[in-house]
Amino acid sequence: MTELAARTEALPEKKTKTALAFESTWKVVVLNDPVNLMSYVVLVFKRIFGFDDARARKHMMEVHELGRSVVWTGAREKAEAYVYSLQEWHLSAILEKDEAN
Amino acid sequence: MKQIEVRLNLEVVAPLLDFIKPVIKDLEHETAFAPEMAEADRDLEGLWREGLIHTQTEDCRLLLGLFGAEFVETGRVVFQQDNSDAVLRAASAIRLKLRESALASLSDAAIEGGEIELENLSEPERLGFAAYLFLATLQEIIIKHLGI
Repeated sequence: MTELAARTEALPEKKTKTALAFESTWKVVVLNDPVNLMSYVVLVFKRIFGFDDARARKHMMEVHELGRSVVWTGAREKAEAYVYSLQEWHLSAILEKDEAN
Repeated sequence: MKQIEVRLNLEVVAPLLDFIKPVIKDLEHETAFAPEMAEADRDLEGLWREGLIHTQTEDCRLLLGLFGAEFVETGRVVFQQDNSDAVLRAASAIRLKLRESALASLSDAAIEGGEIELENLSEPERLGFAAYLFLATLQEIIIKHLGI
């Protein structure tokens, strides 16, 4: 077997790993903060995710009472964009890998 | 386009605006809070932070602009639908900074529960607390009248 042939065989394994990393599911989590108004947090959820009032309030109450709420789950790139948008509105938002998926 | 007009007492608001101007200056260089990033995003941290600072700087400039010459002359401020998001964000950024600077010695419970005795506060704390409440009131008015 030549050296070139050996390299060709190793390539598919790398590709598979890369594909798996991109297919992972990520969670957008909003954490509680003692400063932002409840009505403000509700408005931000409506603006960014297009939630209706009931859903926005449910997530706001989760943040307020439980300290965190998972507001979106999905592909990493979109999750990052959501975290950035939430941080632009000064909400404490983080990205977490969804270990269940 | 929907808009709301608010008339404010210049004598009350001017000292609050003077108090928050240095806070706004700080927000040109640092984010309102330390954003947490995923481990894999450390390389992007600088760009991410720069973007946030750019947005909050523009938002704060817009907010201060509303309290310009016309406000000084008439006490009148107009919030419109197309600038309300920026005003809301700016108010949030400034409140977060006030909380960690002028109001750092006060507890969350005291602030949220309205247990603050104004006469027991230092002058910077009193002005900081008044500015904190003033900005929250602006946010509530805008959300009530111009929110979704």
